[in-house]
Amino acid sequence: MALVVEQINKSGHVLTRQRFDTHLIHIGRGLDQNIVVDDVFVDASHVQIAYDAAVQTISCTDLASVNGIIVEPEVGKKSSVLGCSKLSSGDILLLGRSRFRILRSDHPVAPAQPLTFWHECIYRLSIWPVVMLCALLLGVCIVAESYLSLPNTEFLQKYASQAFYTLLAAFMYAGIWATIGRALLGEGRLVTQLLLVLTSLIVLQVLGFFVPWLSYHLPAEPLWAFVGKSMLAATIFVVTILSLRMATRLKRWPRMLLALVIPAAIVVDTFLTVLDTPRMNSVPYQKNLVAPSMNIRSKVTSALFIKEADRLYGEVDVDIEKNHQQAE
Amino acid sequence: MFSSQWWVLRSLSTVMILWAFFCSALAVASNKAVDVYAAYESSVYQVKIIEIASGSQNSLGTGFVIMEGGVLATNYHVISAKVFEPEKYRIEIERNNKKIVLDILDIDVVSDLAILAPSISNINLGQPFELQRELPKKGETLYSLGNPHDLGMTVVEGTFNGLVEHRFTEQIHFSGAINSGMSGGPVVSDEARVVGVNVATSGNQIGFLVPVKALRQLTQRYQSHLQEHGGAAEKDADSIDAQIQVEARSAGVALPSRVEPLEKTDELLKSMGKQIASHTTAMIDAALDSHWTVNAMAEATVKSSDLPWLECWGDSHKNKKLNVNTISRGCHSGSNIYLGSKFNSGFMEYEFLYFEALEWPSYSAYQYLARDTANAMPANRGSKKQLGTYQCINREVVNQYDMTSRISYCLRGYKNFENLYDAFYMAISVDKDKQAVMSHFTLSGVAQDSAQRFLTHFVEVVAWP
Repeated sequence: MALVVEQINKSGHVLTRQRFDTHLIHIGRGLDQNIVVDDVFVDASHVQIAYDAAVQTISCTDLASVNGIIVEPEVGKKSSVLGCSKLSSGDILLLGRSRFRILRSDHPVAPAQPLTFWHECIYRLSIWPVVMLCALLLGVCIVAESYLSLPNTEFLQKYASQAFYTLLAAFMYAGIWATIGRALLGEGRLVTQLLLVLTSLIVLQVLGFFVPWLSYHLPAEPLWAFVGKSMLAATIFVVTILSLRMATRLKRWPRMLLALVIPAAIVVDTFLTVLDTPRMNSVPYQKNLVAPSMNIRSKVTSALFIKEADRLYGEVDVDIEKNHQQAE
Repeated sequence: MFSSQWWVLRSLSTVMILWAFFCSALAVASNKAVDVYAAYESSVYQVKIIEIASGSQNSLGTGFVIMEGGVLATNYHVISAKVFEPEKYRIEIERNNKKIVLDILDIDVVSDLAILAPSISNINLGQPFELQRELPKKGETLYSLGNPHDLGMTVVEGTFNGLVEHRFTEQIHFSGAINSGMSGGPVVSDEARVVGVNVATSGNQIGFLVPVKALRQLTQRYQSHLQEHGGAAEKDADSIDAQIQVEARSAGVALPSRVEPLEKTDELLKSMGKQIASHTTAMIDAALDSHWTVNAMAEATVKSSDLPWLECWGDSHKNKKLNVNTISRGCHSGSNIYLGSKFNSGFMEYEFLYFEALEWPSYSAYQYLARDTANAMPANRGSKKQLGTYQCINREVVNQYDMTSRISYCLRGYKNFENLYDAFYMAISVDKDKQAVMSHFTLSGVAQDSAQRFLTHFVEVVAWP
């Protein structure tokens, strides 16, 4: 049985891993140590770790260090070592500002995660050609949508710059998460992050194209404003939660909470807009339009429409009575 | 030499004679103003609307005695605050340094007139003005009385210039300085007979008066109402509101006011609602009876009424940068009925917009048009206290000319006026790839029946020929 010493960072990511077959390991800043630590708060010979193979016990001894040793068997549960102390496999030692995890070589590891279809998909798709294709697709979508909204070739340059700035923002987003991931987990996954943000932007772009059509054909047009906002909030939620999962070690609930911040702000803002509707003179008439070729709504004759309009007076009357009751 | 001196002398004497004549004419005119003022000074009052809680004045106007028994006429807009919040305001005049509280007897909201009387009867407010039967001749001198900007009772000389042209509701054009605070004051002829009531100004000596005909009709209506209801409309001297009475005493008011009976306020509001509805019904009837001329708007045709009182406009715009053509035209019935602060009603308007983007994809044309027509609003204003929220129906409608339009028809009710609505109509043709016609109307303060008749007509005024 051997002993494994891992140097880890604050978030638990392993920086170095060494295996020792000897019974005694010395850790310190001195060049004669088994593990040389580049930390000014660590003594030349700071700690001695002993492993008794017969009874399979690990112990550590403070070699009269300036800053002492702190043992952290669990995150947040710290205790100082006075002289000699027994350790369990997996305990973390804090020396100065450096962290070491001490493990027996037979320390159990988590079972392997099954490689699902999605893992396989993401793994296969997380390659630069796919990312560049997505970026191109998004750029084309943005330019096409802007052009269809106001078709003038003179504005193409403006539309292209819009697309460029969106892509730049997507790359910056992925870059930031990759940096965080590299710092916390030692793995940036820049390509996957990029793929994620580009895909979500394409989805939003496509939805932006379809929501007006849906709102035209399905009843309750004002509802579709919420649907649009909800889709935006949902997409932001999904993207953030996936980014957090890829770049941090956060557990499920903290991750969810963090990912909910921006979507919640959007939802609350939308609700406040609805509740605070003193705009007395705005009329909730149908504002969307679709081209005749895309219009599949059924038609009525003007006589029938006038009859329906006549019935509307009854509904308005009911409303007035309600207002009176409220006032009373 | 001699002859030229003679000529100069003669011209000078002519100028002097003319000057003397002019001065004497002026003296006569101003003498008349003096007479008019002297005879009726005590029959014209400054009308104050007092906010009861703070005791401060909310608005000021002028009122004048028109009937025996102390009935005063003024503008509706002077006392409008009292109508909607009777418990919050009181109407007051001052006579011989004593304050007299007034009640509203009746209102003509369309002409902007109100008649008032002291809460306690048997008060003589002065000699009533006589109302003139016929309109004066154009150019005749008239004298407007009122209290401009709270400066004191003033008499202003001006000229009668006939009725304002192209107005559905009659108003007199008076060339004289009418200023705020003079609202509700009488405008009298040489014989001191009332010709009209000060109501509005648009500056530069252009003033507007309510013709006295409307005031006569209002007093007649009130008298017949009195006869119909016998003693019911007589004042109930017992119902004295203690709070106001105490307040009035402490403020040195000689005659305590009484609370406006609730039924009276409800009656007034009911009557106002009916007046607005019958005004818009008359307007819509006139519009529907008029000839609707077919006008071409590029590839579409629209029909527009040729009524002279409709204020119409038109414009066309070729946007070369975007390759878009638009043609617009619209009409408005002119003036609104003032109901209160930021609250008006009683008008109609309609508008057409032709849109064409021949070089655009159909999708783009409709997206652009949707954005362009997304901010339509009714031109009248009102608060949440006064108006309900709009309810709409949206349909694809084929009219008799086979034009398919997406029509939104929206209605809202008035909380204080039963069976009165604002109707908002917005239609956009959706059957051509690159051309569309928007047609829109707003009817403000309409009854269901007249709004429906207008809707039935308006659905058919646009067509692809």
